[in-house]
Amino acid sequence: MEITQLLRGVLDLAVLAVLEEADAYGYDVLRRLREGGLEEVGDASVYGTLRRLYRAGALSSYVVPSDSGPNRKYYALTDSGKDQLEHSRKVWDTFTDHMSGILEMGTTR
Amino acid sequence: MVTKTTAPAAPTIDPWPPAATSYILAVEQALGGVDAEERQDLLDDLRTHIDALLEEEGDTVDLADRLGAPDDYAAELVDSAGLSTQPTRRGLLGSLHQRRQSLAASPRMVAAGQWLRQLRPAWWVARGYGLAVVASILDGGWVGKDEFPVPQVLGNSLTGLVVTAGLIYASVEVGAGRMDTSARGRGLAVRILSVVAVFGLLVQAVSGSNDFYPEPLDGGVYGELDLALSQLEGGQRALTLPGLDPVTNIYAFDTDGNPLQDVLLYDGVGNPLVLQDVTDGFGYPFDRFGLETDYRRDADGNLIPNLYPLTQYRTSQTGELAFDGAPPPPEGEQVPSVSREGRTRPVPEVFIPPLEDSESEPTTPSAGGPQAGGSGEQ
Repeated sequence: MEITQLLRGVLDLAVLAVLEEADAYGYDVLRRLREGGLEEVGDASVYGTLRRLYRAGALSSYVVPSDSGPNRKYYALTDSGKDQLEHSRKVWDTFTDHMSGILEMGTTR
Repeated sequence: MVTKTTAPAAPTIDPWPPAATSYILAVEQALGGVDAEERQDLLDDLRTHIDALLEEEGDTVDLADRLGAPDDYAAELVDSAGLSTQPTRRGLLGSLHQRRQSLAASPRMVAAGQWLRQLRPAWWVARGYGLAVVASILDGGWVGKDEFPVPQVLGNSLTGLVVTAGLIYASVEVGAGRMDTSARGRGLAVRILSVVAVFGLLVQAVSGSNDFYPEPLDGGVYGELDLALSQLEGGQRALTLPGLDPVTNIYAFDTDGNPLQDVLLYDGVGNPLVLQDVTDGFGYPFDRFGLETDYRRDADGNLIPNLYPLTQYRTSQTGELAFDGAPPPPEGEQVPSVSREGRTRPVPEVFIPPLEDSESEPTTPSAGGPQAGGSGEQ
């Protein structure tokens, strides 16, 4: 199974989790995801996800001038985004527990 | 959705490698079916992203290798952003659109675009200046070369300087992307103000190249002038220079070069020598634009149109009296004496109105009387 296929379903959760740690701009979100082990995540996927979460009201944005480059558009979690993260985290925990159990069934058979 | 602020990303790697510009144009083309505002936001993100990549990995970074082919990148964006795309244009319009897009992405057009982008700071400054010109016009003033380089605002050059500097600063900040203009209303306002600024620049260019003001010809006081009489409206005759430029004033001197005051002038058949249509139907002199004349009046309150030199003022844009154009000859300089052969001049039989505030008695010009040793006009 390709990781990119798995990522498709959980990228929202990953992006929300990264932003819970600290506000970040697109390039920074991408870098932190990759530092967290998601090497395969695509640049366009991250920017698209950020735009979608922003449109859905899970994120707010603000601009921070940068001395070394163009203005950076930072994203931050809104209350709605925090609720979504909390809910998704529980779903993920339950899902991984179930998946682990299922996979262990296979190995112990 | 909560928005604190947003602003478009302005690339700072300048000039961008043509490959980077081509990549963005290709992605833009591939995003053709996406809502315009959303597309702009996505492209702004991409510009910022590429800018960061260029900074971190250098100009030689292979974007297609790093980000994927432009079409793939766009497709991934649309998919992950959950966007719906409109069907792309078909038929003739669609093919024209595609041709335009591919032309825009060609290396030559990209290079031309990059060269033009270098001129953007000049346009930002000009836009601020153009707005200051319009502010001056709206303020009720007018703009001309006299007030270059800074138009007056509130009738004051200092205010004009402050307003001009402020508008140029704001324009540059907006142009450089340091001022938030991403909201739809603000973006529209910037575009409208840019058009207004172009109008202001055109007004400045036109008023600077044409002479709206009749300049008093101080420098021609002693010159040899080929005077001509021209017909004014209403049948009155006035002195003009060749080309029908108006003579705006006359200074008379005696043979020693001393300026004469309160000289009444008549033409050869006794008509008062006037320089302009002295009444506008309401008992006031009709003055040329930018020039006002204080005509003296006789005891009955009637204007004396041919009493020279005229007391004149230039008017500023705000209508204030800005300049008294009276004293002609520089100190110590005298008009060279001119010897004239005595000859009989026609003696007009006219009534000379007495001057209330003049010590000299009214006189009738005569052939033997003192003649002006030199005369000129301003």
